[in-house]
Amino acid sequence: MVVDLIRSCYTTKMSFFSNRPDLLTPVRWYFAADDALPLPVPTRFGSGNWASQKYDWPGPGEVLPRNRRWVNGSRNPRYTGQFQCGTDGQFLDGTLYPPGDFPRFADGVPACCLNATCQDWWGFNDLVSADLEFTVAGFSGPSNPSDPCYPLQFINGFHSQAYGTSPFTPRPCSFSDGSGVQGWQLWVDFEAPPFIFFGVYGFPPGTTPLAGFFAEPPLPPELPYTWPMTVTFDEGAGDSCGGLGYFPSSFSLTLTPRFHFALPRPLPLRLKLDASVVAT
Amino acid sequence: MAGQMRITLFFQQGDYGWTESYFPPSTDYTSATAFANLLAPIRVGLLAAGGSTPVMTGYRVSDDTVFRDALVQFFQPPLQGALSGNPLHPTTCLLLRLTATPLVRRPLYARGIPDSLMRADGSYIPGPALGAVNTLRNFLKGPPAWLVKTSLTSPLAQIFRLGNVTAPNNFTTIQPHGFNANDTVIVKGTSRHRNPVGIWKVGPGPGITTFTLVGVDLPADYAYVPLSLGVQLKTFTYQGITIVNDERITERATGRPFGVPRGRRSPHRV
Repeated sequence: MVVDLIRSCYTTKMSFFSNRPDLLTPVRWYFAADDALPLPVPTRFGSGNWASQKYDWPGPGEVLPRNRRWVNGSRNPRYTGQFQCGTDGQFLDGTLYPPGDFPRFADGVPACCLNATCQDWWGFNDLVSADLEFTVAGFSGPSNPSDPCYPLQFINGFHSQAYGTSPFTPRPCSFSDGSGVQGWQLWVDFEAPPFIFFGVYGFPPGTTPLAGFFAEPPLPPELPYTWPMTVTFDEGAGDSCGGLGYFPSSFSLTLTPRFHFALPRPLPLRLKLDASVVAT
Repeated sequence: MAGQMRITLFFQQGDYGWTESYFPPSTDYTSATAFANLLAPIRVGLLAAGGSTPVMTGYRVSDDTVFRDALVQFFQPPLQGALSGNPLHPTTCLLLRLTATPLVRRPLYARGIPDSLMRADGSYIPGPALGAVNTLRNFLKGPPAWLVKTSLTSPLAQIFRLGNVTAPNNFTTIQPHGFNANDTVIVKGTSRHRNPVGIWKVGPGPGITTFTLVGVDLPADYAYVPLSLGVQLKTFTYQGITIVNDERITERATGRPFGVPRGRRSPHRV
């Protein structure tokens, strides 16, 4: 939405958190779409160009102009400027740190900028129905995982959830490769309509996933695609899956799907997720 | 936080754009927006109606004490003028003078005027704009009166000569300065003396004739401060408009429209 009027765009930093003025976030001004709507509420996050003084700007908003760099104001065309993403109070007074989960598309566009308000995002049950199933293939070990792991879920009408919370309850799955393995790789393929952004997270109980395992990978613009996840396990003491010095020949893997998605409009959604665990 | 509201009107005429700022008798966004909606049709009464018509595209309401807040509204379609005649170039404008007291006043450069207001020699013809100017005048004078905002200058804000400066940041004035912590002050001097000429805030615990400075770009070295410099409390005053004069035709630069992308500015401006 249109928050202010300026002649030239620039990069600067803003303080968004009323309780953490020390945390500054880089921002880039861009020109709004021709038919973008003006933000209907006052905001502190306007341009400092209009400030009557430029030596003391307390509170949330742009920080004092230093190192402002000119940018051409180009816009991601998906920012249509039709929806207010954030509460009136957040626009006027900033928000509290930590900001909480903020679903975004793979290109960084907040979901609520395309759908409706943030509140509607969390009420996604009313907007979509979803079929979700897990299938598995490609196990190299002598024991394939047993039911009831797969298919894991069949859910109608779900919405974005934080890790491990309902309705995505953790699903324990047993894997075994009698000869012992040096590690495991979990490959996940999924098919889904565009504009879906989600990650799948899983790790064996008592193990430590690699750093970055929870990082949502950059997604290509088209789906489906294959997202390789390497699952390795902490072999240290307390590891419920194996002892020191060797990798487990069998272990339990708990897959907890976590989905971040947004749709431009209500539509039936079907996710198909093929997971294969390969001993390496 | 309720402060002093400011209304910025946005105009466009061909490839040119400009703004005008007004200070309504308002301390909140709601009433300021209402005032803006009243002001807009009155102000466009001074715009030319013909030719490449100057238009008012929207307005911006902000709290003058928050510094980077905004509430913008657009007119769809943009508001058009009413004065007959072809518009003059937007750099040619009618100088209006908004006065609260003889020492508190400011100019208002009304661009987008028609050629019917200017003789061939460039002088002002008040007749065609009489009705529109009177309407604007009466509206700004109120009641309630709109405000003139000006920075207080001498003699309203006294300049205190510096008597001593010691490193790293201890200033002494010859006379009692009366500054309080967090007051905004301007250290006066010639531009050759880069530090600390400029605008700062008074640090905590100022004495009768002593004070320190704080600021975002506080100069590190005060050893070069000429004692002939002065320091002055920098404060703005908002006072009710009592007189609105339409003085003369004059020239005032203008810029590009707002919200229109363009390429990087050429290093060699044409």
